[in-house]
Amino acid sequence: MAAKGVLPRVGVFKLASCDGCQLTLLDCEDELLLLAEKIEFVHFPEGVSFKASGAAEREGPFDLAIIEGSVSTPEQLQTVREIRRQSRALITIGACATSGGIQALRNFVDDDGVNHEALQKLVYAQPEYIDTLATSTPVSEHVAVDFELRGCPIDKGQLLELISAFIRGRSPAIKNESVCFECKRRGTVCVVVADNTPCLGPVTHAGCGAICPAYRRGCYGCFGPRESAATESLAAQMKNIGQSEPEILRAFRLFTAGAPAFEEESRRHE
Amino acid sequence: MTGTLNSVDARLFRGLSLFAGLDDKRLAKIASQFTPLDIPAEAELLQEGEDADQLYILLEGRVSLSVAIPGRAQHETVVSTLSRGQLLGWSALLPNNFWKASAHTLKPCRLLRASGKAIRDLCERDHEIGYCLMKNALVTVGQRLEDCRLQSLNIFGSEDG
Amino acid sequence: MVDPKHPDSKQSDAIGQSFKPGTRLSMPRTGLATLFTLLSAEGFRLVGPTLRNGAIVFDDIATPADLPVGWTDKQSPGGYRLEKRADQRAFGFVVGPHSWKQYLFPPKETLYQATFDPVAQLWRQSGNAAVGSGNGAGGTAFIGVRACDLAAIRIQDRVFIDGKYVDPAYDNRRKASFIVAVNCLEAGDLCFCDSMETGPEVTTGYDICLTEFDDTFLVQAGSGRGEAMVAQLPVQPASQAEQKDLASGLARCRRQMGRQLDTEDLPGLLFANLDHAQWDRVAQRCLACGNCTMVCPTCFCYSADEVADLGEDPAQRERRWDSCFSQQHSQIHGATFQPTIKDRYRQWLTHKLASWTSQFGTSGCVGCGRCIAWCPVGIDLTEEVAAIKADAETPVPLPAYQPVPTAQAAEPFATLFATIEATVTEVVAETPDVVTLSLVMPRGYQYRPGQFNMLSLPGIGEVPISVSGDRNGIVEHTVHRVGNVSAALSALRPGATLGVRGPYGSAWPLAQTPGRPVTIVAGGIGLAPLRSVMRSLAEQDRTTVARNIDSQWVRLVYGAREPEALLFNRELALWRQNAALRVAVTVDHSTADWTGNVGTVTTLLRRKEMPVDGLYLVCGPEVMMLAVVRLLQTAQIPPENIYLSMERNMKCAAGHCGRCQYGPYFICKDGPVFRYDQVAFLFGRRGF
Repeated sequence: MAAKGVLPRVGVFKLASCDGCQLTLLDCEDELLLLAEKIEFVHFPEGVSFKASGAAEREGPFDLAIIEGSVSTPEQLQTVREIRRQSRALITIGACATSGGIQALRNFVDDDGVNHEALQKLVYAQPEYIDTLATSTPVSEHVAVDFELRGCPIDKGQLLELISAFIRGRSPAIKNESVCFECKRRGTVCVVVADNTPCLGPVTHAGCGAICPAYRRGCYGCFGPRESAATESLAAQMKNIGQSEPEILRAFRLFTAGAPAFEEESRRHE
Repeated sequence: MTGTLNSVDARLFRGLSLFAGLDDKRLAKIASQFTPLDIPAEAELLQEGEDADQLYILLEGRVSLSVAIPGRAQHETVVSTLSRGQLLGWSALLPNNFWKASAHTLKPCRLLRASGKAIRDLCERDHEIGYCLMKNALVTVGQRLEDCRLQSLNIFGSEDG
Repeated sequence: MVDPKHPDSKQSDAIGQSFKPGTRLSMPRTGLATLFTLLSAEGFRLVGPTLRNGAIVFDDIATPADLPVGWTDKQSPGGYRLEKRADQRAFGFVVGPHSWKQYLFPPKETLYQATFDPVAQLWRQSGNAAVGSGNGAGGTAFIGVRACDLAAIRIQDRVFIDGKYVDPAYDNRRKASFIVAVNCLEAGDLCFCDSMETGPEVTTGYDICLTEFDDTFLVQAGSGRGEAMVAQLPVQPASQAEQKDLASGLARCRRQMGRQLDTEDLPGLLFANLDHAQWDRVAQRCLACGNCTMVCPTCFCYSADEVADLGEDPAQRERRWDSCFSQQHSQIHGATFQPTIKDRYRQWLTHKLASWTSQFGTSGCVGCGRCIAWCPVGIDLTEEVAAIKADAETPVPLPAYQPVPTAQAAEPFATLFATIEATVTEVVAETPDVVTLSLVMPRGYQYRPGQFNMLSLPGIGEVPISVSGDRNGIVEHTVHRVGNVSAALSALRPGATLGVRGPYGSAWPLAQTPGRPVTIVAGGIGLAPLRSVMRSLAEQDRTTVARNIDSQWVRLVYGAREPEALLFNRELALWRQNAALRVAVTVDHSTADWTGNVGTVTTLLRRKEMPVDGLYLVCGPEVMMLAVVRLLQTAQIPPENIYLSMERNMKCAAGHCGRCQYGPYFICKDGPVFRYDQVAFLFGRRGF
């Protein structure tokens, strides 16, 4: 915690991502003004005009670093280590930063015998300008992370809760439980049981408030796998209701394809 | 300074767990192998790695067992302590053995000491004595193993450190 | 005498107190609308079954047209479908994914709020659970409560209002509820209320009971106010034909039950078969998604969290439905006691069908079948039980239910979560991460060694801390800094105030200490709850007949990780000077200047006398207590002479939130001090 009277210095960073999670912070609107009273945004390229988004060393040290985006290039690998060195606490927000994001789909290409370089040639006219790592990985694979906030995008309320908890010095009320908990607290009728709709809710980390089932859609697993994700049993259930192997594979290979529990399950259906 | 054989009380031996179950005659044979001695504090009794050639019973005082960790600031790390009635040097019960740890006195100690070879020969010649000693030593070593496992578990910390 | 199969509760008794159910009357179908109107006129909010999103759920309703008229439900494991009926029955279905607990025990609820005092620079708790209680100005009328659900309400009454501590929010809502029950004449595909003896007939605990026929309703009053309402309905005496139809309908319903559960000796049988292969088999399928616990009408476990935003709005403590299938349910700092799905499923089933009987005097299951329908993979607990019973070990005895005498119901801290404000007078740093806080408690505060208080810092959290001693009205709490709340407590300075409630829990058996040797074995912070015992024994020696030093000695065997981690050094030195006390201290890891014992407490204890008639009090990390108990058993110490202090996750400290459960026990009220024979069947076993 910063010294009394001094606001905690916060840096917000972006790696490989769509920017949606940082946008969630800006979406806070009223709360953003309150936030600005409680913390000092020392580095926030999206929110505050800076001359240039500099390296962490120039802006640091930070009491809290918030990182969005996955580690996708060699430069980002360095950046992430610099940020960790300069920060007392480091949190990652969103599917990219916590599991590698959609772009982690490229982690699977080597299985087809198509390697990373060949993929670049397929996509880019002048691949010599592209310098990416073969894999897109979460920040936690490279540096110690104090808290991973899931979501694609993250939930605004949860972000505020996390920052409030950090400022206050208490544990954030963010639970690693299934989406089913949220569905049931809301009173939503289970789309699996009543409609035979495929749904990843039972293996997905809660946080969104169970939005999709409230509209009679199955959960897409945006928040990634929860602890004790029994994906094998759920996949068997999906097969029972008529899902094909490719459909089951695709269900586990979406926004959080790189999360180990989902990756392992999708591979079982290749 | 060592005492003579006669000054060692056979009753004393009767109460030591290493000799539990021996009949009087055999107990006397064993007792005759031990001589008492007094050691001041901070003296070295055993050195890790050296030949295991003496058997000790601690009558009074406290002895530390330590292991050398090369490169550590604290070169010798005390892993356990022994006190009254305990066996020091079980390694000497087996031939061609060496000390697994060093032993130092933490307080002034009174001990009984016997030649490891003499005890081993006695065990070979009289298997009753041998079996009895080995059985009792196994119990002691087994308990120490059990306790050591608990000690190594870092029970006062948590799984994440 | 409590009949384990017929759950009743003081609340339901209160409803039907000295009321003989009225005779059955008959009413034309139009009378139902009259009933709705009457209830609304009296200010009741009406909730009942209605169609939504492919199921029959509970929601606000206004007229009988809102009911699922002409619909029924077809249920199977993991499957629920609506089907049109051939008739126009309004109650021609059984149960859906909702239960009445969502009204009496809402999914989310504010327990209290705290306001910031800028002068003192701290948060003060204001109000208590009166915040957010009540569901409408005049209370809530539940329309269409089945017998199984009625039994479930009575079961939750036992949990929340019939114990030593009363949940005031639940109490208020319960008193303000009006129950219109309905008899089931058709059993559902997954129903087994017959096996659980909770239905299908509605017998007690209702205000009005209806039975639906094609042209009429049978109406019966079950309470004074029910009777008053029935008097305003268009009723006439029921015909013989109607009475016969009711009897035969109920009989047919019993015969048609979709499922069966053999409850004979079930509690003891489940606990005798904790290693049965069936647990592994079901764990392969179970998703630990928690759906069963959420739809179950009796499940009551909840979590309590600080919810505070950034502004000047008051910090709140909020509770939410939780479940033993969540990881946080069994998690304390650095340990999770039910890490695997197998552990959690076994916890759920043994609680529901076995532990509950010891805790509340009835089974926790009412046979509604919801958990079977709403399990995405269709696990059927009746099948699971049958599989275990097929080749089971003989049942073991479980602790008997101890009903709380009514007189004790009103205790000083009977209002849940309400704290008193205590002031810190002294903070002693015992070790780098342990402090002892001395708190001034209100006059009359009393505790017994072994008990604990809940220390609350609004906005940060609340944790259970053992009382480690007292002096002149100051009560000492020794806090180990392991998480955010304990860190905040450790940072308090003299003059600070915090919320305190307690004392809770069981105490060390001081009454059994005179006239015999006492051995106290403590590890790490475990010495804290035993310190007042040591002080008491040292005191005993001075004020009562002195102990015979040779045959009634008191020995302390105390171990810590390293010399720096030893607590209460000054007091240890004092105790060493007392001829009746024998103090032996050891550390796991020594430092260069330590000349004391090195090794575990078991190493030390082994060398000491362990008389079989002695009393043994043990407290420390669970793995240490396990090793000590094994050693004591090798020394032939009878289990009744050994006492332990257990620790689990705790939120309410009152036996309501369910988190501190250890098999059939609540550590907050049956413990934390246990006599070993009470817990021997579980102690050291993984997954509890």
